[in-house]
Amino acid sequence: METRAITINELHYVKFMFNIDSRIEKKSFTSEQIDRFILHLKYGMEKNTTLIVMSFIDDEPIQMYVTYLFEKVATAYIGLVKTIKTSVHFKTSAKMLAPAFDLLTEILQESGYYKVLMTASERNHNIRNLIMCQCSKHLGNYDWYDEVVVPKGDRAGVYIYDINRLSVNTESSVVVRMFVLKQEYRIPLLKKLNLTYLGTSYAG
Amino acid sequence: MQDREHHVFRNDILECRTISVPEFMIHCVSIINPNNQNILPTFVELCKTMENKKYYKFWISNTEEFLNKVSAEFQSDNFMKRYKWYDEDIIPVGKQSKFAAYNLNRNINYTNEIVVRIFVLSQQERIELFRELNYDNYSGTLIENLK
Repeated sequence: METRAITINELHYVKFMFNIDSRIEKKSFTSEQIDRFILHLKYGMEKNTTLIVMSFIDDEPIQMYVTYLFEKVATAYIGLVKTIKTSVHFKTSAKMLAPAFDLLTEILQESGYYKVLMTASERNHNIRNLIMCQCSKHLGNYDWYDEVVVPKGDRAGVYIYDINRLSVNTESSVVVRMFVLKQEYRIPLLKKLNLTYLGTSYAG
Repeated sequence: MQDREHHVFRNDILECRTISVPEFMIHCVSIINPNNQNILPTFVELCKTMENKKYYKFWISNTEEFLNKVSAEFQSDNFMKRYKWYDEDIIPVGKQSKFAAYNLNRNINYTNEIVVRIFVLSQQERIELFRELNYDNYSGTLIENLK
């Protein structure tokens, strides 16, 4: 399996994935809607505010993480995780997803993004965290904080928490969870920026 | 950065100014007279105010040495030790951060490197705040309880 960030000239791989499975958040999308979504991704990649990490087997994409970068506040938002084998149990797909997640966090950390947001129901967050922690090299290096609970059928009303949510969730409340790289893992990254930074460990 | 709110919190000892970034529910605190010793009452006052507005994180930018003093003070106070901290960025002498928010409310420093330190309300405290609101399908999970 090969995992890498795709370039703006490789957005046809996104189309390829949606041709196999046209759903986002369990909702099917028309070809026209998917084309509009890909245009939106292209615009974001041109502005360096969208990052797509994809895994391939035999040159065919099997999964991707679409991430939006909010440079103003040094925060990334994982807006979409898509795998073309959605019927596979998460314990199996987590092993496949982990290399893409790890590469994504490495790219984010190198760019100074130490905070990552994800949105899901609390139950799905917990299942994902528990299983992904066993497969991922990096997820365990993050603390997490629930930023906001968005009631069923509602929106947060805060731009960064609502972006990329195509519709309100009618099944359950959703939690915007912020993953924060632990201080001990930030110190070596920040020391690379400046020699005089001592790097104080958190002692709370 | 639109719709910023400015607040000034004062007591006899310390004056802080906070600017909020509502797009991300975060606020920036600048300590206007940093030579004073007892910073805690003012910080408790401003954090209570901001928590009521659902702002559960803030940052301070200053030298690492100064931030270490502030962080140590926070640890000595039951209210402020609810916040955990992380270093977000190092701003070189005479430069600005590449992240626009971290340049708010500060002048370029031509003498010292500046550390941007974010203080984040603990997950335990957040859970208690969210539980009071009785959301469906939310019980609140701590990392250690998931293992």
